[in-house]
Amino acid sequence: MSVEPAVLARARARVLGAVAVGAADPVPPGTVGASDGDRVWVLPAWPDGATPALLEEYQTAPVPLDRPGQARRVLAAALRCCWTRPDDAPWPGESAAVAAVLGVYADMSRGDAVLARRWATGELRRLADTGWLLLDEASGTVRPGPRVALWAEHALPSLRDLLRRLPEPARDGDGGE
Amino acid sequence: MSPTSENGAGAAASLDDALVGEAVLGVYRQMFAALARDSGAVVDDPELVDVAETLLAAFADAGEDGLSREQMRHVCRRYPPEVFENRLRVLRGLGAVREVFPKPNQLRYRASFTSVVGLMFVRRMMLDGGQSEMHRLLALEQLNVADPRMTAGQARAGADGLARAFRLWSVELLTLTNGTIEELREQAPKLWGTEEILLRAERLHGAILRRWPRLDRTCTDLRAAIYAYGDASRRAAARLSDSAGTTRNLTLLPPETWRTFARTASREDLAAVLEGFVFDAAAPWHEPSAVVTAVEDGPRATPPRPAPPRPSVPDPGLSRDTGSGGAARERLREIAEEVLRGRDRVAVQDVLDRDWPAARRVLADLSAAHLHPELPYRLTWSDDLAARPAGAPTWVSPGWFERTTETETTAPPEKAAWSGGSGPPERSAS
Amino acid sequence: MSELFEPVLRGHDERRRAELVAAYMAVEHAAEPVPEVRFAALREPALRRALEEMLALSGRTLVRSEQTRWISGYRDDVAAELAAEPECVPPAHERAVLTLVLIHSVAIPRAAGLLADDSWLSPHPTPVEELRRRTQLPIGELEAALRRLRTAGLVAQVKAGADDAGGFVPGPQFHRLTAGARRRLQEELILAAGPDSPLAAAIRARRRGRERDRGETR
Repeated sequence: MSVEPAVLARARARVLGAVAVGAADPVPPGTVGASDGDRVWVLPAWPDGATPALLEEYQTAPVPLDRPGQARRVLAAALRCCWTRPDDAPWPGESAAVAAVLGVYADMSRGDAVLARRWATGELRRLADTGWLLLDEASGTVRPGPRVALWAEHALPSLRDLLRRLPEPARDGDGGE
Repeated sequence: MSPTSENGAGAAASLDDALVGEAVLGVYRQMFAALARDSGAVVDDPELVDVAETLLAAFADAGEDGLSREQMRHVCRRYPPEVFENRLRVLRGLGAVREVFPKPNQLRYRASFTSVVGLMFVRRMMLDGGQSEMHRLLALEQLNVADPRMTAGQARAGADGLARAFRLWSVELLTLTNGTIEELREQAPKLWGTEEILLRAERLHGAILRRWPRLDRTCTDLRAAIYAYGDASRRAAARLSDSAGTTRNLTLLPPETWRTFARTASREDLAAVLEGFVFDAAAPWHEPSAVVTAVEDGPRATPPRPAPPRPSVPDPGLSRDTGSGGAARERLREIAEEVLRGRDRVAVQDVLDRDWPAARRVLADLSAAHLHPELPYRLTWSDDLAARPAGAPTWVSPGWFERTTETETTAPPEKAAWSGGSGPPERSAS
Repeated sequence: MSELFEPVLRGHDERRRAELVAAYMAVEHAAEPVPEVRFAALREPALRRALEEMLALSGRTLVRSEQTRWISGYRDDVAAELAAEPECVPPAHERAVLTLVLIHSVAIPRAAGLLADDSWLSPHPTPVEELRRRTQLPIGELEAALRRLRTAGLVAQVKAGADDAGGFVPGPQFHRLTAGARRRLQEELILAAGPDSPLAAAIRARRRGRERDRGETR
């Protein structure tokens, strides 16, 4: 009756989302491990290099997001600060101050900067909840999340190009370094 | 009573009987006056009962002064005069409404308490088919059994009545259980017994038997009737749950039960419902190109690079939707033309001769171009298989990506027919 | 490229392979059941079997909807094992809110004859006021729970319209329950709201019977 452990582990990864195990712990077979040296995040393995972006090619709607544009702009602002060596992969990237990310976002946006920061803060939390960013609220820093490790290399050039064009993060204040 | 009453009917006895009988009939008449169409039949329109109910409610509010005829007419003003007159005549004829004369020359009307009780009973029966009546009866009997004034004869009569009710319920349920599922679904909740009714009935049965051990025959009957009823209820429920579908049985609890549960249950009780279920973690996908699009399309203070000269479109946001469909089509057309490179058809195998993830994307685009109703391309496959031991997909089947003959108005005008060119000359077997 | 799927995919040519991959990604990531007319791997029984094998590698299975649409969900045995792990089940305050949405959006409209489909999705929103004022839930937890449930696709928000106040309905994840899971959900709700009903007695009796059967076969 009992389910094969590897099958159960892959199902568990979908239930839990991107969760981290110790870097020394084994990653379940048939999953992708994204390691930052200390920890490994368990991610789904997809066949033949496909990503969920494939749905668009088949005119199939993914689970709808609230304000997807805003979420992606905040993600771009965060990557502008955390993906400091664009020629490398975005994962694991570097830590950056949340303040710097909010600053970049406010510079990118039109209208009330205070409001923009507030929206962006909520968006940072949601992105962290879904594995796209790693948010350390205590230290006020943010890093790329393990899900960016699922991005295919061939999909990245336009994003690299975009990030170069975004406003530069502030280098002063409480630690944009 | 008297041996003579069989035939001839002794005058004295029959007068008494007649008086008792008349009193009983009087209660019957008042009980059901609200439902009577005339003094001889039951209503055939539910609205007629509403008139009676409206009247009885007004009498209850009026107190001991009762109501005048004008006042009665006023409370029933939304019913036509002839309906009102008919109701009043029937209610008076059956004694549910009586004339009184508080002062000389003053005619007032009063209502009978019995009729109101009768109506309440009827409403409850309509609501749950007698479930709550059974609760009440059982509770009352339980009180009676504890009452020192209760006699064995009264206890027997009560137990017999209950046994009869349970039997009739069982028979009806069993008939339904063997009938159509739709009818069972509709009727069963009104008829079947909750655990509580069964429990109460058994408790009552125990109390009667303890106090009057000589009523054991009656009690055996009652117990058998209770068990039969419990069994019929479970059978009906089992048949329904076997045919339940995946939400259908929710209809078998009344909305009120659901609402009460939702409003009174503790957080833990509510949470326990979903204890055994697992769901996916939220995992939205942000493709790099979608991030790029979001930034480029988003509202922004200053363009990240000098803005390209734009045509003066009043509101670019409005036209974006129609534009993106067109953009997708143009993208597919570009890819298709890039693959065809001027030819009218190419072998899919040649197009896919690259790393598999990239090939798969091209293939998906070609399929999309094939499926796109406005694009003149077609993807066809033969059923053969070719092994490619060293290739990334190990097996390939010959397929062709080609331009269809129906030329679109937007296609290049000088597009030539098949011109030999660099494409494979042989045609596919299809 | 992942090795996980190779044993299933290896035997297929590149077209069928691409069709399998497309259908796999679609049923795993779409918001709603996808029509089989658009995916050969859903249409053709042999490919659909291969697709089932791919899904089974991660404890998942195809769920059919409206005859010709498909989506994926957890296999019943896998769901049962995972549900026994506390970290795999949503926290109590989220489950409580979700149960309330199921009652107000599905059970009550169903019982009142307003919902004809045999589905856990519903167009009848649960008003926020009902959740806020007429339940035993601490208000402080409600907003946070609704936000998380929404992000996870377990509830969806319905904006206020001309003649109703809007509120929440069960979200797209309910498309992903297998027929077995949907039946169990119905049973759990009946056991909770009408523990005293003959229906609850029938459910309990059947479960006892099943456990006995399992005990005997062991």
